[in-house]
Amino acid sequence: MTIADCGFPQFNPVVGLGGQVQVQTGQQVLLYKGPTTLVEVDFEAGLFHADPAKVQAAIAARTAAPQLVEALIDTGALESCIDEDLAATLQLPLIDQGEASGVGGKEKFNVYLGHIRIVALNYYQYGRFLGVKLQQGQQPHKAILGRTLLQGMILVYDGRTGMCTLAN
Amino acid sequence: MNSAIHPLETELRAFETRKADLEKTYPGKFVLFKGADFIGAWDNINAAAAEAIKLYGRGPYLIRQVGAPSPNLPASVLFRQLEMS
Repeated sequence: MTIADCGFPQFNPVVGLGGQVQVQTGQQVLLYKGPTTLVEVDFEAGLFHADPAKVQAAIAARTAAPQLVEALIDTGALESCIDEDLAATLQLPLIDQGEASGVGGKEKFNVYLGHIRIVALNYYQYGRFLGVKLQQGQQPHKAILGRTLLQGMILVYDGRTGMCTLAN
Repeated sequence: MNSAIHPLETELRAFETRKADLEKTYPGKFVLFKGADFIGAWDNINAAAAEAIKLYGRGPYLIRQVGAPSPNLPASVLFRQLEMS
């Protein structure tokens, strides 16, 4: 079993309002930021293949993308999502425009082909992802990992200490 | 998303035009449109995407599951406060 640390250490320097550096506990950062892990977002054509052996070969042959981004592990989300601006920057294949509903009502979003790799687990989720406006909404994360990814994993959340782990 | 013409405008219109027929013929299948042309239907997203990539690279093209419901967005990030206190 491989384990990814998605929580925060006991003490964390945080730049607050006015640029002042404050120290926050892991408990506080986990509360406000949520379980967070580094991921690679990209598109690799070789992952889209009917033959699982060829998919594994494509994964083995990949060279990691240089840019890693923070993803929120979100048990409130069914599907994983990618930041719309990041998807456009990476030129992920645009494959649909869908209407999605949330607490704010219904809105139209782009749908992209791509993959999210959890770096610490070297775990790939690939397929179609909604492009959501995380960056435009000043959210700290560039991707959301939903329950479709978590269905094969163990998530341990300790809100008392700020520790959180994800294992597969 | 702004109100300019969407890059998949032609494909989306073509899908809507043939939607009733697709729902009868290919329920649950993943269909591929390029421009106004219906290219084919596959059992899963990977098979449809593999063909799309082989034919058209990074696109754009429309891949949609026939009859699939609209996705739900998470509520959690919609109400995240912007600054930590």
